[in-house]
Amino acid sequence: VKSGLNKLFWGVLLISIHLNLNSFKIFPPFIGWIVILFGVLKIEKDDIWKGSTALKTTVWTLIILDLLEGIYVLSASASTSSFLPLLFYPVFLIMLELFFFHLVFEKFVTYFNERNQQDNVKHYIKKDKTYMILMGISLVLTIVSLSINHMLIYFVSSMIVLVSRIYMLTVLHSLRKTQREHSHTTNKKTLAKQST
Amino acid sequence: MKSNKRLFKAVLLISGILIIIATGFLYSIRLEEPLFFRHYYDELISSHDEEPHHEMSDFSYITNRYDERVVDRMTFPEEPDITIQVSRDNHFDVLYYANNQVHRSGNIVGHYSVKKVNWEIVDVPEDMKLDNTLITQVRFFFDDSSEMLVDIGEVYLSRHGYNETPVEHIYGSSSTDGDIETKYVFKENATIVSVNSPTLASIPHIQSLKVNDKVYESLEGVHGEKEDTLMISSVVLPAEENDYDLYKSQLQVVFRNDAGEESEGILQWVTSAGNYYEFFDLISYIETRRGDK
Repeated sequence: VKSGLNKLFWGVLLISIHLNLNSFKIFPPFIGWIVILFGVLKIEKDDIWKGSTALKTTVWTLIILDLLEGIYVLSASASTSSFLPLLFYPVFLIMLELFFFHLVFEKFVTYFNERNQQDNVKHYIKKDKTYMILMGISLVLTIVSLSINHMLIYFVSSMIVLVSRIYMLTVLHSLRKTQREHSHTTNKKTLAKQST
Repeated sequence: MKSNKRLFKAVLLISGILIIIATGFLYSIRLEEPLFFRHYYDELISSHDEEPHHEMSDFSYITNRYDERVVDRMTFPEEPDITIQVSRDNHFDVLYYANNQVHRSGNIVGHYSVKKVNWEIVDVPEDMKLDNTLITQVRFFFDDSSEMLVDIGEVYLSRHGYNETPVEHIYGSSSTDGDIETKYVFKENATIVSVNSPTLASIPHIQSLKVNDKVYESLEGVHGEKEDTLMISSVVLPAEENDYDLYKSQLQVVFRNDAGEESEGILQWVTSAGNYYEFFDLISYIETRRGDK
């Protein structure tokens, strides 16, 4: 699990880094999403989550969308950029990201619930709520800013997405810590059993 | 976890509703075709040489943000024999490419773009009489082969020669707020006989006239002695709400010297202040103009 969580952590860090050369992305977010996908697969392999199809589908969608976006930006013409439904494309990406991490929270809450770790259950339900509120605010601001093409509001909404990702990093770090402590306790119990 | 699920659904629902509202709003404010501001211009064509000379002028319009068409030709249907040249690029700009891009996009205001068409009259048939000839319509040709006939406002075309006048220009200053101050000095004793400007009356402005610090109500009848200074300043008043009409007025002044000789000169420009556009002001301006039709 620890290695899977590490991958999720680094994936979130990588999707938050944007290095652009004009419209060309030197460091496209799909690299981060691929790392996250490996993390999901690893956690699934460790038999921590059951049925993570929705998670994998969401990550695959984000990877494909980012790849298509890269191709679109390189070949965009004036006529296609005026296509109105594409205006809300960033909103769709934020929604997918919110859906993915909400599912991650849900999986871990189920995991802790099954092990009767009620403190952790409460703790991560609260964290999920905070994360959803942050992303919800960002969604509303992004829609408003795109509707009136207001750069300042768009900047604020992007900053809130960044804050949400930093928040997610702290959550993943805390999950790693929880996992580490849990492994220590399990190991101690096993050793104690073996010695008796 | 139930309350979290409800929160998640609420976030998605609110976002979905907002997207539907925003899409409807964006469709409702889209322009079917560019909307030109109303222009009230005095345009002077000098003909001291064989070639007519006309100072570069411009027409401004609002279009959709992604409309990257540019005007590359225009005509006056009321005076089809006048040849007009449209200039869209500044080839002397070092950052020509960037400049061209900016020009294509125009001044982005929300989901609109405010663009300018720079134009100048390059040829007028010799026998054509231009004495405050009124132009109310302009046909614009875009670079995608589309064209449109526009009610442009009132553009008055006049010829004028480069005559020696009894006044000499000393200095002039202007600001983007539409404040203009010009100082002249009388080279000889002279009286201003008449002032002609077809558009001046329609411009909301204040003009102050001074000869040697003495204030005059009107330029007509003003007499100056040799070495007297004539100071003219004008302030364009703030436009009424949502009024983006554009003005450019020139005073064609006739002088008479002590010998009774008359000469004509251009004394003053009164131009609109550089407009600062707001997205919602443009929306209500467009609504008003649609209502006018």
